[in-house]
Amino acid sequence: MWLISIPMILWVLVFCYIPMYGIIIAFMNYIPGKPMFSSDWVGFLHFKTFFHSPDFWHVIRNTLAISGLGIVFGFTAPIILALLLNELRGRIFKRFVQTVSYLPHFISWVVVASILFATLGNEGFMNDILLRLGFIDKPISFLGEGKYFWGVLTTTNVWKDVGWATIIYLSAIAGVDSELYDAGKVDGLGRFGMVWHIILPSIRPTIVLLFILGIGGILNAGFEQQLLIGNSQTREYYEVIDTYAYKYGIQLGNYSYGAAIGFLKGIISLLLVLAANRISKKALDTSIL
Amino acid sequence: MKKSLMLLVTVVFSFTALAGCGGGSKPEQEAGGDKTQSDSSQISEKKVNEFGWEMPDKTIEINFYSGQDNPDKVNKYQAELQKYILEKFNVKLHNIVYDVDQKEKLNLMLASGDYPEVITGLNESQAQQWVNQGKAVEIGQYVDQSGANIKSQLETWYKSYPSQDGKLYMLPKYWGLLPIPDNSAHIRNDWYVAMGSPSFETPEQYYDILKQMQAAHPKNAKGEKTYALSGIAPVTTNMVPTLAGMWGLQNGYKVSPEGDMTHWVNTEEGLELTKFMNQIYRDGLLDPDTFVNKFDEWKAKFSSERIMGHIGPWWQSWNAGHEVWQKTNKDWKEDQRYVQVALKAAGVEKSYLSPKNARGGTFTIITDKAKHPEDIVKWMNFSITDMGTRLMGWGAPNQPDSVWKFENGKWSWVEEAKQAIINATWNYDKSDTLGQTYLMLVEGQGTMKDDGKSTLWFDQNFNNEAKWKKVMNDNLKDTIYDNSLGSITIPANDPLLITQQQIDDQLETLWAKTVMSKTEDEMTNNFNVLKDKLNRAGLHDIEKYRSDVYKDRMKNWK
Repeated sequence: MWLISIPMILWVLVFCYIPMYGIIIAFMNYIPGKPMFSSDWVGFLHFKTFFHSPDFWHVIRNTLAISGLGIVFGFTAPIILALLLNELRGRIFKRFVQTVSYLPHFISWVVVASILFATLGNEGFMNDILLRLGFIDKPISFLGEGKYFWGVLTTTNVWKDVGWATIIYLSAIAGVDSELYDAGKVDGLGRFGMVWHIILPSIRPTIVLLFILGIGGILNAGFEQQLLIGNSQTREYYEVIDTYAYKYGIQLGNYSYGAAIGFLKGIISLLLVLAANRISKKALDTSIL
Repeated sequence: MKKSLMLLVTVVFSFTALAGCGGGSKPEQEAGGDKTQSDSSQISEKKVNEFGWEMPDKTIEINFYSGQDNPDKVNKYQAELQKYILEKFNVKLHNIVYDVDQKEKLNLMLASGDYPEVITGLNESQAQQWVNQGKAVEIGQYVDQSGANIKSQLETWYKSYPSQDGKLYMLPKYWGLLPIPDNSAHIRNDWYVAMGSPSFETPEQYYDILKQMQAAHPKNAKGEKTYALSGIAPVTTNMVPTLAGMWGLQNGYKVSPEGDMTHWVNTEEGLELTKFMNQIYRDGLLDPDTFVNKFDEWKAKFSSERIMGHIGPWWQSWNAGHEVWQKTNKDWKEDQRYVQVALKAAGVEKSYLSPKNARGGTFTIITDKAKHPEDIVKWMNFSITDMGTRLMGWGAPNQPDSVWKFENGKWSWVEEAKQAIINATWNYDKSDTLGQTYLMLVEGQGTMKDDGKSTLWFDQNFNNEAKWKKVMNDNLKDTIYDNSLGSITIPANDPLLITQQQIDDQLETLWAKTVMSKTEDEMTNNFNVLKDKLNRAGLHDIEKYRSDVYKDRMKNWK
């Protein structure tokens, strides 16, 4: 088995671990074009700069809020949808619904942003309807006011990925032993009872695994969607760690600053995964390590 | 049968192989590079072309990166002029662009070491970054050897380009002062005339007229709501410096006689101009997408007759106004257009709308990839001349579509092209096809020395004859100013650059919120919050840096 794994282990080593030495520039004043090790060593300067940045708190707040909403809605929605799909009896209808629910996953964010502008813009479809029905007397700036941004983004994220994310749950549900259902029937369980007492406990390891991995990605609050849907009016609500690192690190040529922010994000994510894993191990006796 | 088949296959392979060998040499001949070299090498005496350029024996090849653009478009548009210059000068110019942010691309070039022999369109701090890393070639010696025209054209500015140790690494592009306006307020002409052309001078009076105009045209032909004003994001970059100029500020800064620079948010004038915009918003006459519009979105609204006025560069209302209507409306009349007008707030001595940087705001460097930097300087020494500037700015002469002729050492306009500009019927796509300004490296945009009136921009050469250009120039002649001292950039890798970016980002967000305040009290409160936040983020440091540089220039650039 180890022999078979060697190529993959080498691949991971070469492409995932060796490049990590570059993280050292987070502690240097790296200037593009100069050899990395001739750059000045500055210790934690870039981390301090980030902590003292006027944007620090709202960047962290936005990242946690958008990710938190993603976990609450984006994590639960596929489970619910998978359970509902599992209850569909007509094979053709079930496949049709599944296919339709996957489709948004394949639409690029550029197209999604265009759809959003056409729907929720000041002169979009939604405002048009609300104005015509007399519910409002002037357009609501759904995409121009920060207070709507998290909601719009979470809804869009859920819409785009809910179908795709059900695949893994549907396969987990398909793996539930049919004898359990028979036993449930004998015990007089109805459809909700089956879901609650048989399906959910059976797919619990899958749910926990995906939850722990999801916690690790809690600081991945998005990138393209923020840049495409966000604008100067909503900046205080859309700027997240990744967009900030891109703008101030890559675009300004401050690679060290960008690397420091990325490194910080990686450390926090790792700690979150370890914490979630520990909690899960204690509470549910299920873990990934 | 089998033998015949084998024979056939052998013959086919043999021919294919021979054809392949032949084909290999053909593109080289077509490309012209090697052919020109071998042909030229047989010329024993130096040949001087009609422009006075001594033809080099070997083709001088100059590949230069010029920033962000569509590569296919640029390759298409540079082709004609590129071919002409190769044939007439034995110089092969190649403008390289990428559809990637210029700042990002430059940093990637530095990090990867993959860049061409010349880079142009750099601001001073970007150029300095290449110098600091030893990637830019010191060209002072080459200019001393073969750059007499460079020195004479740049005159007194020449001494401002070398670094502190006296070494020259960069030369300017678009230097020189062309006294024609860039920015202004705009108003829909035919509707204004229909109102009886009421006079106005202040921004408030201007808005009052726009308001009346909007009341007369509340909806466009499609029944869509109209507005007095709109904008293109980022508004604090695209509109505010011009707006602040109406309150006497220079490119967004209040400059004291001693050279102290104060950002507009820290001035009374800044509050006043914000009040002005807030009033338009509260009246429901500011396009709600003002802070979101990209140019194309704004253009779509503007060209569909939904915006009464505009504040920004003159060409925007031409491009999005009558230049669209000319093509789409067969009944279009000449006066259906926007005119550019000067505004000056009450009590303000002078309106500063069009900052000019005679020293040049963008620069060209020769990188360490250049094998023969002296040849590149030689080309620059020609292209910086008046005739060189004509060639680069107007495209090749004596061609079927040319806008100018050059015969027996004398140049003249192609009358048809000239009249098209004068009559405002010129199709600007033609300018692109001619390659106008696509192959520039060091050309100036001021008035040329040999006739005292020609300029790089083809369409700006007939301003006194072109009716609407003349109207614009007459209206705005007192709003142009030399901002060479105030054109300051923060050096790359300076921590102030992050501060500057943070301030720019916050400014756009918080000013949008301030302008969109529902009451005047809320607006004043939001403005004070904006001011406090920006000052806490380091705006005073930026002001100090700029003031120090400005004062230093006042002392040294006399």
